[in-house]
Amino acid sequence: MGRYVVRRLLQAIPVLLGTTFLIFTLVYWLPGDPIQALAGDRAVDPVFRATMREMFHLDEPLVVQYGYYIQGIFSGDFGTTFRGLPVSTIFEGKFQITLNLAMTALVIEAIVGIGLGLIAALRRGKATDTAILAFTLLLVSIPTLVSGFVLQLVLGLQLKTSTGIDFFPVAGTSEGWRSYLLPGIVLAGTSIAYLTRLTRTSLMETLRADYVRTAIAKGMPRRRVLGRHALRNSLIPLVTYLGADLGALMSGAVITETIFNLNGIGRQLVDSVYLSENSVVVGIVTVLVLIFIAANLIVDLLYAVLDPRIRYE
Amino acid sequence: MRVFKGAQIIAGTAVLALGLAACGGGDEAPNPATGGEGSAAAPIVVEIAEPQHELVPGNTAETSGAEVLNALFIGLVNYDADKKPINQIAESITSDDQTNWTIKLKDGYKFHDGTPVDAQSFVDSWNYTANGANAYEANYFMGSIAGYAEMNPVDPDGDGPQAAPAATATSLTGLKVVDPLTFTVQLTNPFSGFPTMLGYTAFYPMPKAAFGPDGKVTAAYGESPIGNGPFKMAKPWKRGVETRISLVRNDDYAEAKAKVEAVDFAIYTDLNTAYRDLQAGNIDIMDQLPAEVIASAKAELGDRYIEQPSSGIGYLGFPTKVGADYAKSPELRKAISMAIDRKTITEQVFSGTRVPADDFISPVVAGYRQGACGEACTYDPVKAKELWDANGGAQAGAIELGYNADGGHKEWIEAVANNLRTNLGATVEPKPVEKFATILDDLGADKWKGLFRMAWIMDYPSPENYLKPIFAANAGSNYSGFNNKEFEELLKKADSAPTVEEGIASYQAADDILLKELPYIPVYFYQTNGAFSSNVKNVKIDPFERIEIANVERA
Repeated sequence: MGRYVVRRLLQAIPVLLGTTFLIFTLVYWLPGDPIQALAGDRAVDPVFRATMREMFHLDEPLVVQYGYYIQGIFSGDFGTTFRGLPVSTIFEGKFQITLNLAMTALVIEAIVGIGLGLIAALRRGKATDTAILAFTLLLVSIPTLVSGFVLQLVLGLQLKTSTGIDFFPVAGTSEGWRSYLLPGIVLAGTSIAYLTRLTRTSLMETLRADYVRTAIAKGMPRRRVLGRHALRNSLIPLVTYLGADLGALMSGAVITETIFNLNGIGRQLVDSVYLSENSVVVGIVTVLVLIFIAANLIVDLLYAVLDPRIRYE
Repeated sequence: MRVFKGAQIIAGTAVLALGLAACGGGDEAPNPATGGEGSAAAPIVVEIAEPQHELVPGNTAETSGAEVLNALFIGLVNYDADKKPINQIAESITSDDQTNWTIKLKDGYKFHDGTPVDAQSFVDSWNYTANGANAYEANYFMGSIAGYAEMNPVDPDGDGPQAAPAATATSLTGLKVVDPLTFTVQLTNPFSGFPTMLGYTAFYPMPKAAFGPDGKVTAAYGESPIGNGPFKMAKPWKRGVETRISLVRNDDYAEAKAKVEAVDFAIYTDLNTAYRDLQAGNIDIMDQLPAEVIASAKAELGDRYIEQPSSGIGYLGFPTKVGADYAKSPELRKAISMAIDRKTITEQVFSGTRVPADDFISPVVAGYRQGACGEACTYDPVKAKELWDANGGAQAGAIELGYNADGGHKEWIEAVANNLRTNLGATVEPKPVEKFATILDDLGADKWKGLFRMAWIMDYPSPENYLKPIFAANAGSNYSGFNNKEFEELLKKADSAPTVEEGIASYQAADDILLKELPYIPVYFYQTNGAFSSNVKNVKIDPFERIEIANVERA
């Protein structure tokens, strides 16, 4: 198993080099002079432009620029934004916020999604099942933008102004974990729907399996049949989905972060693309790729835990 | 909020167990409005966007950073209700020839660390900003002081292979300290409006403590600037990590002390979100509002809603020398201007966050004349069509309207396009470009032929700032290629006028030439739309769009 992990991590290196170079090239080819973009509508001062171009190696060819970047990374320097903020500071502050948000969403998604799916599968064909399916349909069809604003307005603002209950902050991170509840729910929305349906289908399939029938036939308590035999065997597709979703939640949180004023990487990424800030875009994407790789690895290792037949060498 | 403290600790542990460290940013400042209503120590909270740089005067050329610095620093001058400079730290600012200025300081002003605000502190700060090697954003403000060119050598072939020559100086020859409370400034050219520049962020002084042993402004100073203003930093601000900047009152302030004990600047990325926090009582002052809420804010907030002119002007520009036929003809330019229904556009498209422009000089500076543009900026489709046809507009080809698609300009440009189609019978092609920089690049290379959108926000409240940097022949931001001898002469006369007032008359004469030639069409003036909560009163916003924070009182 140790060797398996090492091999998987080594495979990550070419993936990382490939993605960084690809992203670097894409940002490089964005039209417009990034230094002019800094100055907005005003003509940028030629001296300022020259100093900045020199400082950020903007006059060098693409490959040389990329070389400087990789060289910097190996000496522990992730570069700085055009406005002098070290990329490592962005990691320190903004990544934490996005990670908190994504993890909150993931927990909400796992609890609500698997829970609803479980109920729906056990009440197959009954009114509860239909209601849950209709609810998931509703979740998928509401865009984040709408659910975000509505929840913020109703639970964040109106609940406070009309009843005095001040549980959900409108925005910001000043209330600790409670700050992440509303945005977490909004972000998890669509995923909850998918996970519910996935759980329902997967569990229904397992419940029809021979070994479940055998377990029931030999008089095993229902709760134990469900927990040890049915649910555990249905978990593999769910874990796969959750693992892949962590990365998606982190990289797709721009709208949620903006609505709830969470100072995370989403907004930073958009701003940096506008300013063609290569080191920031590549830095953030690299870490996202690492998270994807790590999440996938953990998922693969979990397979072995869930299903003892799976062994890694 | 306090009620939930227990639950917070329990759930906090659960969150930690999931592998989440405590929330990222050291953002633990208690929520002021809810945490301690009525308690004297709760700070008032002001909304800003994230400052683009560390909090150093010379590197701050945007409104959010300037808002914070304005609470931490005061300058040589301030501005009165007529937008004229009045001395603040300065005892006097005098000149015989408008080139050599002598600035005397009042005694008794101190930095937050107790050191005196002396002539040297101004000279050090300006020299540092003027040094091209520091790549400070406000560097160009020092461009009118003698010795700037030696510190900022221009690359002889632009971005070409030749390197720029090394700087031959690290301080401005035009700045000389005479005695602790007097220094002289030599400008490269006469400029009667020089005193109006001096209230801007870039001209604030910096104490000795700002500079490290290597002569550079230290990182620690950027996180926790030592100023000379009514407020001082409560704790250092970690840029990119923390979303609140906390200030407390400077009790050792030479002027009347600020009315509130503490101010927090809260960083928001979305104005709608900030406005909801204002409604919920979580923040107290916003100096801009999202267009969507203007109508409801007026009704809901009453006299807690602020609306006043701001310094921005939106234009449509022409490449008058190298552009299409309609761009080269003053008559056709006027016809286009008259065919634009400014009133409807500002009311419908901008929901009243803009007002129709009627001068090249903004209403926020002394020298603005209401209706100066006259006929040319008045909507008159019939006359416009006559003028268009009489000057061969029909043969001038399709009118291109260039704009950057990333800045929310599509709606008003489309509205202008419709105006021109209907009123002039011309073919109009709105031309979106990804970024504004692309249009500027093309204009610089003489490749842009059609109209382009343009905007200007003032650097200092002088009419000169709306004329010279945009329309003088050699000016950096002259994208229209406008070059008019009489205009240059009038600017020169205005710059060397013995007083600010006498200068204004000549600036207005220069303005008249622009209004006749119309290298740009003024379309709208920006408005400042602000609001404040019921926790505060006496909120005023100055022409730089900065809140007069020292006068804000608790309601």
